Amino acid sequence: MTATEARLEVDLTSGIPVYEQIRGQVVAHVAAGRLRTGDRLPTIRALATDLGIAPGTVARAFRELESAGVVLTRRRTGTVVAPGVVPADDAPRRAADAYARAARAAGLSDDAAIDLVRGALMSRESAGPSLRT
Amino acid sequence: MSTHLLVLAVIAMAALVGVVAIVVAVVAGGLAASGRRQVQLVGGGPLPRDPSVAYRRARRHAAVTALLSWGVAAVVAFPVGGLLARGHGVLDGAPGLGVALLPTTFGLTLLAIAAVGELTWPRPEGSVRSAALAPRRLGALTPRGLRLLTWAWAGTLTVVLLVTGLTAAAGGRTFRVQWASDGASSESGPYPGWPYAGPLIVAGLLVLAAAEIVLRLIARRPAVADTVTADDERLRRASARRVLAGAQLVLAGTLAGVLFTTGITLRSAASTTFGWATATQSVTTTLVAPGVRFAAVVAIVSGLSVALTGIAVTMVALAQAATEAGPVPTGAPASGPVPVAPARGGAAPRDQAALSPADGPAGDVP
Repeated sequence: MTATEARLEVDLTSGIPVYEQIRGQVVAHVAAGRLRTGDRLPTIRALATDLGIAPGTVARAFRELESAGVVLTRRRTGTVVAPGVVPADDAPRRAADAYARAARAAGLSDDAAIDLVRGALMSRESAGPSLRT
Repeated sequence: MSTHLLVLAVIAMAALVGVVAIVVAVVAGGLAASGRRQVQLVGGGPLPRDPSVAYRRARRHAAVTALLSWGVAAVVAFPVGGLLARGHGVLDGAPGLGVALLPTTFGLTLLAIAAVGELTWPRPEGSVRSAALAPRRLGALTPRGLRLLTWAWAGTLTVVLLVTGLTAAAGGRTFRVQWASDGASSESGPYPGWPYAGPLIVAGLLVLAAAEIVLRLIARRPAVADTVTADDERLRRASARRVLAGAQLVLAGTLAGVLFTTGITLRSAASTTFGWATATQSVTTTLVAPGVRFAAVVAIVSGLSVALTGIAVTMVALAQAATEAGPVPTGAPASGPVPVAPARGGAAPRDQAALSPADGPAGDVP
């Protein structure tokens, strides 16, 4: 996997702000291991040009990523994935890949697929405390 | 004077032939690309992927930019060069400089139109936009050999003009051979001394700088939406190839003209006949300077080689540019770089991140 395989896709009509979509997808790429420590991100201007959005929107996403410690901005190298940021463990990542393939094969929409995961997580969360008590 | 006219005629003819050949190559390349697409459609074979609207629009924009830049540059360069060649105003002190600057006029016009083409590159449209999450590197988007050749022509042009500038006779328009220590000497021209060398060095560096600026504009333009990164990069490389083809042609043309003019003049200066009359007879003697004659041959052969190389490289580069980014994107979703494919509904980014247990910890790392 290399950084060139990571792409962003934003929906301008979505209820979620564009900067939040960018932030979330960068975090997702890091979690999936497509972006690794030291990988460079495009400049704010280049990303804004490619997406056809205001540079300020990208800048806000980058600021939030930086304050969360996901990326670092250096004068020389630009914005890079911060050291210490690690992808998810191998087993969950492979399980996620397998689930994504299964969801695609079943013809689930992305929303429906994610709703299923959220539902599964919620049932675990509700099941957890009840087991302890 | 007749030699001077001959040189001008040769340079003008070489430039004309080069431009005509290149325009033919561009048109032929465009037709070839269109033809290939028709064959695929008529043949009924499965296309790797339907060309996206954005990709088609980008290719059309690139083709119009290429035709306009090469065509308008050819149309503008000759009248402007002709006006300059008449020697009005600032060029009075260096007859022929206008003709020598003709390739530069052509090149700067071409590069200016190419720059406008890049600055007006189609913007992303639609509500869903995508972009690669990796920086674009100029070196990866530019044909390395062609760029090196362009720099090499510019460097050689500068060095040759520095040499001719330093070796020209006082006045800067002739080459002087000292035949005897008692002062017997002869001068031949035209020779590219400082009145020619200075403006031509500046012109060469201007063309090089303009080409580098346009290359950066190509790297910065918006990515073509709805296609994979590899196809977008192919379109950029094709644009870069066209720009460098023009820039190297201009520099090679100028260098060839300088070398050829220098060679013809040196050949003329390499021998001279002195004559004097005594009471009973007239005596003539011919002197030859072998070193100067050798330099003349080297300059003439080099000039012709540079001209031919420049034209050949241009034609090959334009043909490659016409076929590099075909009418159909090559990057089928299964084989190209795999997009992360977040949900289009807008809920994807946060939710997708939430799929991974590492999301939380990753965000907390200082």
